[in-house]
Amino acid sequence: MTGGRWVENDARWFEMRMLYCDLCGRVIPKHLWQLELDGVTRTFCDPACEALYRRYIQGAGAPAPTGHDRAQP
Amino acid sequence: MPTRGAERPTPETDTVTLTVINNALVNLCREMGTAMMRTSYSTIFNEGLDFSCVVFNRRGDLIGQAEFCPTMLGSAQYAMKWTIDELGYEAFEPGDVIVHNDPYRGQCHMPEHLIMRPVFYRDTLWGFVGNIAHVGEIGGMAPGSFAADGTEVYQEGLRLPPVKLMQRGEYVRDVWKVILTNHRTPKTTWGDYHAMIGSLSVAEARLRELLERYGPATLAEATDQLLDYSERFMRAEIRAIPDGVYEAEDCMEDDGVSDRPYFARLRLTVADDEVIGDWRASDPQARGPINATFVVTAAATYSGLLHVISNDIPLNSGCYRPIRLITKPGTLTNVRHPGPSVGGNTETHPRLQNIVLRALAQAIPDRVAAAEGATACNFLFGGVHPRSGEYYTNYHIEGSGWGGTATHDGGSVLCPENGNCRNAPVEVFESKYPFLTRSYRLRPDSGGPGRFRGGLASSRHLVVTAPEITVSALMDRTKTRAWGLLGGGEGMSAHILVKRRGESRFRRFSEAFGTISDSKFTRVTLREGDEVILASAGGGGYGPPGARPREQVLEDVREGFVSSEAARDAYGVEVDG
Repeated sequence: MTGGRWVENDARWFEMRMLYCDLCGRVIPKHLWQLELDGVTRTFCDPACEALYRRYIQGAGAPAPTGHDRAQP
Repeated sequence: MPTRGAERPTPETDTVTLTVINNALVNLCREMGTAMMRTSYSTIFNEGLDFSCVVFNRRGDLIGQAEFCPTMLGSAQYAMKWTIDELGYEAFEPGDVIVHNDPYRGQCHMPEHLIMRPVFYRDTLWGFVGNIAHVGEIGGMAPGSFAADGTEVYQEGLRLPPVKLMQRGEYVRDVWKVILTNHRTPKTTWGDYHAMIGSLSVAEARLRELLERYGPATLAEATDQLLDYSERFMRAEIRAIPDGVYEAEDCMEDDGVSDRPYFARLRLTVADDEVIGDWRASDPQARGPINATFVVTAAATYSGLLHVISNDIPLNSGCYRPIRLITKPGTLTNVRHPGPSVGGNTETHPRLQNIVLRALAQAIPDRVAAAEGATACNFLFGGVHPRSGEYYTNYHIEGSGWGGTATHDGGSVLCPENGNCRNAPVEVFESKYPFLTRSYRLRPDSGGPGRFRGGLASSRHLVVTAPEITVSALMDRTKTRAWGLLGGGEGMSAHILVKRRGESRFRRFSEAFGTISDSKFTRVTLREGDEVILASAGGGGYGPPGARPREQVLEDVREGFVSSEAARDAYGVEVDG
């Protein structure tokens, strides 16, 4: 159970209110998945983005890099 | 064989039928492309093939596409769903045509227009057919709509949220008037829009034939199974890549507004059957138009992965389910409103895709190519044509060299991998535009040396034949080079140079006209007799040059691909005579 809920971006038709997913960074069209996490209201595209947020951002995080290839500007 | 209009409520469609349906959907898209090529007005459509033809189910999932522009993968994946969410299903009626090019509503950049039509079967909405195409002139501060030194989206042309061009088969004239008034070449827009709409009619007819043959429920069920199959296919391919966290980066040399590089950085996590592309460490967004929208970064990540897997996978939304994106708004890899983004799709996009491959090279070097030249060398121009007296514009692109691979030399003079477009033949170019092409040739030694050599770049020498032409350019890799892999050398940089009439030598545009950038500028006025050299970038080499067989080096010298000096210095091969 995530405790999240679908919320509609209530901007009127002549307004432009851009809301970004807190995980993937995409502008969300109209229907937002919102919930409280650590006392902060978080907005996601859908429950799948919330799940990855919990796993990848809030969780132990990704392991140390296996390799790194840097550019020479 | 299913009977005509039959419903088959079986839980699983047999694999033969699935294959037939998948191929029918792909062919439907190919047929749309043929209609586009034969009926469009602009060179970038009928010669460049800068478009993608796609078909969606009712939910907006991509269920079929053909071999067009990978750069539009993200648009196909997100812009259709945005349109459904913004307008609602109740908005769609038979005969409608909707247009949408807003980069802040799920599009890749302003010139890319998604034009779509809902497809109904016996009064019930079944799906959509769509055409995403680079409309060559959409207004804004520069002819050809590449505001290479623009600093906000409003300078890049006319921005269209999802709006109807046709409603129940009738023109929505107010919308057409707004569009045609704001584009510099409205006749071309009229023709190109109708080519797109015509292709939708072709697709609608073919999709209806499939609906008649299989029935709407069976076709929906079969396409759902195809989506699931592609997801399983992609997950199996990812599982074959060693788990790990692979980091890579590369840069854009400048943004046209300031003289500094901008870095994109990727942390690619491969874990079992899933890939997470985390781009948050990229530089803050640029003031100039090299920023990528979210869907550009998504498309670059998808197409990077598609490069290293089997090409037997049915291309649909199922392919992308195991690939997750994490970006940060306000960065080079996810521009925040009102930042500009026109070059993000043509120049930054291939760089991002190359970064994905650079990261994967640490895990599967035998399946990854060295870097490509990765600049489309966008060259835009316009003015009053001396023959017709009418205003014209053109969006011209050049091919670069692709990177060498573990088994082959890189291809020469090919559109960046993300674009997959064709360049315009000299004959077509000269017949339509007031330029004389003095030469168009391969650039010797431009491919990075390697066991498998990088592909060669091209060089085009143009002479202005009109009293006046306004030109712009948006390219990259003029200060950087395509990287080699596993000991391969770098490709040669690109350049664009100008020689004013009566001058004795070619100079950079910054020197001749005071532009901030040598590779990104707008609205420079050239006059009759002025000359331009537009040279693309070469691809990186793969493997140590010393491992290239002597006979192949000598063959390269005979063909003029490699000079005798480079054969000696880079490959250690002396050429007699």
